[in-house]
Amino acid sequence: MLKILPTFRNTAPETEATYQIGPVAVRLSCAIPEVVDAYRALYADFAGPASSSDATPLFTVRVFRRRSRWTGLSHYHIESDVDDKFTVRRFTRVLPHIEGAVNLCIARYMPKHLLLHAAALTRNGIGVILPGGPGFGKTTLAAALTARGWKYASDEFAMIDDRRSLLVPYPKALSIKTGSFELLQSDGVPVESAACFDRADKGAIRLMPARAFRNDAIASSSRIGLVVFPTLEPGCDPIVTPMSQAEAVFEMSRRCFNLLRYRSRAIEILADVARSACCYRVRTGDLDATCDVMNRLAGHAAARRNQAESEKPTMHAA
Amino acid sequence: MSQIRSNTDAKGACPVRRSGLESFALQDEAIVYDLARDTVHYLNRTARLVWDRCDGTQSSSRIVRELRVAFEASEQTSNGDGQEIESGIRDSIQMLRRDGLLTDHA
Repeated sequence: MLKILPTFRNTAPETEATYQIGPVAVRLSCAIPEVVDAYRALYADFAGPASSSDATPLFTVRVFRRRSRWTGLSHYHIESDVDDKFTVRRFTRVLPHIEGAVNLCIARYMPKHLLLHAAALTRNGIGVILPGGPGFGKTTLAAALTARGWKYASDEFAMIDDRRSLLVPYPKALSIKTGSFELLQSDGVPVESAACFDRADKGAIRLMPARAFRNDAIASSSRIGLVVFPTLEPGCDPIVTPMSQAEAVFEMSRRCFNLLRYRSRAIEILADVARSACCYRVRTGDLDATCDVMNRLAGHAAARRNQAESEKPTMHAA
Repeated sequence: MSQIRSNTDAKGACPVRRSGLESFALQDEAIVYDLARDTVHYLNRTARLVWDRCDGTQSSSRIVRELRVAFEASEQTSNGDGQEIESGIRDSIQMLRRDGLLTDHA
């Protein structure tokens, strides 16, 4: 006979904490101390009053624990204010799902920014975006470059301000998959200091805040000067192929989360990016060699930027 | 989309850019955004040259002829290359039609 158990609900008072992560304001509403503490450990630098506005909406994620009526087992429930609901059994899956809920809110509702599925960084003040789908090694490359002195903007979204076409950092914690742990560790990335979680789709992951690299690891808003489409091919020496502006716009549009909201305006913004950036495809299988190639391409982009600036007409007083 | 004719061999028909499209010139290539279908199209150099001529006043065969002459004048080509150029231009027209970016102006 099926025994119906009373619903268990955590009765501790919910605490609400807000975090301003780049242009994204997140409110975590939760009564489970270990969840509150684990999220705070990732985003301590961003805690404080969130400044909600048209450009930076406040996304709320609620986490609570409830016992199943059918099995008697307790589960964690993660709900966002855009109605995404996740239920997980293990604590180690809670934080990745909070991250996932925030990502979904951003992809669907983030205003004033064109969103590309890309890792984003800056090098000497120049914005660099690495568009690519899942499994392209965006996070691994972003982590390796940040360890080499680049500044980190995001491992998931390249947020482009829709009025000035600037890269706006959204420095979420890097989500590093099992397969990259050793590689990044040998590359000087302090992976071992990051908390370990797991995801049903990706297995074990480590969530690593950008400050784990160094205190000044987070980028500021920058003009995009370099767009690189990386392709992973094990054992392959890096092959760099320049792309035309139109090719780059087309490929970026394929990685755009909110193309249907912006429609042809998205193409105008991407064309603006492509006109001021150097665009390449990089086929590669070696992380170290790829970082060397990225350093070279960033140097080339910087030289092009300097040349463009020196050619600007100067204003002389009459 | 009943306005788009599938008869790509209609040599007398004059291809014209469909309404509801926004094009963005980038160097010698272009991007076209289809507002009706919310799709993005990439036009390479040849497709862009064809696109610019599809204003409903020139037939496909005239566009092919003109572009072939223009290509041959700009690049030293042998007769074999000329045929390749011509087939490239025809392919571009066909692809633009197939993607629903061109219609025919009778």
